[in-house]
Order: sequence, then C-alpha cells, then structure tokens
Amino acid sequence: MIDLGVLEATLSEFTADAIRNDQGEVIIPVKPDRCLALLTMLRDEPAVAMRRLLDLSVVDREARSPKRFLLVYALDSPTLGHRFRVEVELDLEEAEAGEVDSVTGVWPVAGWLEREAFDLFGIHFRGHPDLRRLLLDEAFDGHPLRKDHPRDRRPALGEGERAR
Amino acid sequence: MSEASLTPSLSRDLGIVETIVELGMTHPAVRRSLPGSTLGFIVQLDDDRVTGLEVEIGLGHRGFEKEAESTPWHRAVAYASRLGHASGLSAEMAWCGAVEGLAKVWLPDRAIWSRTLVCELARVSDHFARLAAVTAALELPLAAQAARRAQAGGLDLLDFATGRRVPGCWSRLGGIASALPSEFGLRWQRDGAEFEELLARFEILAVRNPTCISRLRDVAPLSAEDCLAWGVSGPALRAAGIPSDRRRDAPYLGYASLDFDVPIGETGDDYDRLLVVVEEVRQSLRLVDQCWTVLDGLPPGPINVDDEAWPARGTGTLATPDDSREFEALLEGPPVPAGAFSFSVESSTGELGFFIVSDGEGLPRRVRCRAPSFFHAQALPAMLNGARLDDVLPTAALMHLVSPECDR
Repeated sequence: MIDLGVLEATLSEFTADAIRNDQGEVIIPVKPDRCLALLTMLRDEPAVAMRRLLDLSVVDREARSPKRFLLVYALDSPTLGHRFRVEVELDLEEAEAGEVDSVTGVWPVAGWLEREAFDLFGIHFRGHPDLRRLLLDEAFDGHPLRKDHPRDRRPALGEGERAR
Repeated sequence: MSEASLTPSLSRDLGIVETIVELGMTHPAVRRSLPGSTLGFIVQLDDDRVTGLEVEIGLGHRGFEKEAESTPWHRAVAYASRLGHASGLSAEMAWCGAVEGLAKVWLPDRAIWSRTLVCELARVSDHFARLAAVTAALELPLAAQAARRAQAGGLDLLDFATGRRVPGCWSRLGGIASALPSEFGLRWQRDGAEFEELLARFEILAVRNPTCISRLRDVAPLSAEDCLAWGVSGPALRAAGIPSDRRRDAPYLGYASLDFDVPIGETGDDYDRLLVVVEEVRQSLRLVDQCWTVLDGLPPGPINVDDEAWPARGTGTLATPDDSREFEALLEGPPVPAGAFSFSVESSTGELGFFIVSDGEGLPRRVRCRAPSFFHAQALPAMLNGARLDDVLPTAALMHLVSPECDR
C-alpha cells in the first residue's frame, strides 16, 4: 500500500489533500479545471504510475450536496499494484457547460467512458473528439441515470429512428 | 496501415474506393449467432484488409444501473446474474461482495468456499464457450464440438451444484441460496476427468493444429502498453504479458489460500490469447479440486450470516408464516451504511467490478458496473486495424464479448 506522505509534495500543487477512507481506499479530490493536469501527472509520475484508467463513474447527489454531480475516476497501477479514486465535483451548469476537460488524450479508453457519462448523465467534456450518445438512441430525450429522470418513462414508439 | 497500402489491391485497380461490410447484429438465440451477438460491426475494407472498424453497442441496453438503483440492495442480485452467461454467477458475486464489503459483513466459511468453487466452475464453462466460438469461427468443427460438449457439461455441473441453470441467481447478500450437495465430490471425480480429457482433445484438434496456428499467430496483436491505454483486462491483458489477476492481486473469497498459476503470454496476439485461455481452464480445474477438498473437510455450519436483518436466507421463504420481522426484512433488504465502496472480481471476461454509493437509506444512491466487455469492444478497432476481414470474428470470439455485460 502506497504511503500518502510520499505523494504530498507532488499533489500539493493540484489539490488540498488526499484522504484514505475507512475502507482503505485512497481518494483525491480536485477542482474541475485542475483535473486533466492532475490525471496526466498521476499517469506519468513514476512513483505513482497510474497507467490504466479503470473506470469513470458519475454520482448524482441531487440537493444533498452543494455540487450535484460527482465524477469518479478510478485509476490503477498494474506495475505498483495500487489504486486511487480521483473525484471532481460539478454543479449542473458546470456539467452542461463542459467545465471539465476530456482525458481522451491521456487514456484513449476515456472515449467511450465519457460518451457514456454524456449519454446517461448529460455531462459534457471539453475537447472530446466525438461526444455522441453511446448506449441510447440518438433520438432519446433526457439522461436516464439522473435522479430526476423517472424510472418508468419510456420513449414513445416511432421516436427511436436510428440515426445512421 | 503502411503495409496495407503497399500490397496490390484488386479493389483499387477496379476503382473501388472503399467497401463497407456490416457484421451482426444477430439475435442471441440464433444458433450460429456472432460472438457478442447484439454487437454490430461496421467494417471498412480495402480488399480484405480492415482499414476501419466501428463497433456498435447499446442494442441490449436495459438500464441495469437504473433498475439496481431503484430496488432494495438484495434484489439486484437477480439483475446482476443476468449480466453474463455462466459468468453471471461471478457478476452476482461481485455485486454481493461490494455490498457485503460496504456493510462489513463477513461470510461463514461454507459460503466462502462454495462461492469460490462455483466461480471457478463458471469460468470453466465460459472459457470452453469461448474456445468453442473461436474454433467455430475458424471452421474447426471437431474442436468446436469438444469445447461445446465441455461447456454444456460445465452448465450441467453448475446446475447440479447450485440447483439452477443460467441465469444462476444463487448468491444471496450474506451467503448463498443453497449448499452444494454432498454428492458433488463423486460427480466431480467423473466430470473433472472428462473436462481434462476434452481439454486434451481440444489441444490436439485446435491448439496444435497448423491451420489454427497460422490463422491466429500474429493476428490482432495489442501490446501491453496499448492494453493498459484501452483498459483491457482478463486473459487478453495477461496474453500481452502483464500478470494482472484480481484473484492474485487483491484476493477475495478463498483465493488467498489456494494454489494456482497465472499464465501470461508474450506478444498479445490471438494465439497467445488462446493459449492463456486454455491454461486458465486447467488452473480452474485445479482450483475446483482444492475448493472441494476444503469444503468437504469443513464441519457442518451455516451458509448465511446469522443476522435477521440480512434476509435472504436459504430459499427466501419465511421460517414461520407469521414472522413479521423476517417478512419486513425480505421486503426492505438489509441495512447498508452510508459510504462508497468499489469491489471487483476476476470474471471469465476480465475484471468485473461494482462501485456503489449508499446514503444509508433503503435504496442504493449509485450502482456502477465496470463491465470488461465494454472496454474490450472499444479496443477491438485498435487490435484489428490492418487485419483481414476473416480475422474479425475469431478475434471477437477470443475477446469473449458478452453483450448483456457490455450494454448493461
């Protein structure tokens, strides 16, 4: 398990503090505008070597939190054998204005992950080369994993003409 | 690809600029459906060289994450087990492991070892399914037949062990639905030997078959670095030489005390992937042996946590008809404290994990499923650029794209 003290110096210019939660997971909060720089550093810094973006998930916290959306980047270092979560908070305007940069240039795997976050949550990523819906039809209305999207709303028949 | 542009091209001579071929999607129930079935491939060709490939996903999307967020924790086990074929059993165990991890619930020994054993049996069945799909795509019917027989045998054995066919839905939060029958040992002696024999036959008919070697060697290679960049996991990542395996790196269930090897390849081409899968079947057979030895030696004991609040005991029926506390627990599910947790298992397709967030209320706040097939489908174009059209289906089969998992 990595010693967080080693990271403190490198992390200090990006974010206030990395924490370890009670499950032993390392969580690094960061502001949207510093996210891309931090993730690039975590990949390239040999002491951390986060070579793999394992997953990108979004949590819709509604009004429970001043910033509604939480972006969670799960990073993995297969050589050093540790994992981090980088968390970015966004409110609705920031999410829809694309305040967070795409990381497709750092890990190509982000291409589909960000498209999925756009599709299901309506999060925009600045600089994504091809931000289209991925799992749902182009004609689908809304972003179903947002908590204010009713679970039983079905698109009307005939609406779903595939755009290809 | 520079190589492709140097080769003489009949299409170019005839003035054909590009050819587009659509493969799939097919219905999963069609007998000779494509690997991954509801995935569609749009292949752009120069002669028979692939110059562009678009993988279309989403046709099987059924809102798994939304459904799981709208239902109490214990009922999503049934959704999770529909994420794969036999590997659905690994998916439901990943789900249970995530929830149990967040709630800090420790399973009784019998449940741990039964789950480990069933995980490995599911891997045997799914790996044989993958081998059958590859050899069918290469038109090696005898090898495909041997693998398919073993796959079916694996499903029969899972049926015998858990009392369920596919989808399993055999795990429960805090335990399992039914104990393995005590005659499993006898049955395993016979079936285990048969799997060994079918695997040996498969090796002669496919692995050492010159046709198979020439069709898979140097096809669709993906370097270790590219595998990481594309988020590849499972046998495909190990074939590229990275010994990454959740059972070894972050042992869950009983894996920490089991003896098994993690096979790796060198070049990460299709043939290395085949070799890794074949060797993993052999390792899984070893693991089933060891799990049964442990399980057989355990003293009688419970298969579920002894806690009224964790309701899904046994078959989910009430101990007494008027036990209202147990009835309530069955309706509402177990109490899961507020927090976030991620947990993943090594499924036959790769690293399958859940990231869950709880508010401490009845329903999950967030359920995120990391499905390896999703990542592998996205990596296919990078593997197949410059390959031949003929290579698309064997490669897709070797990556074992499972569409319910990919589309969720």
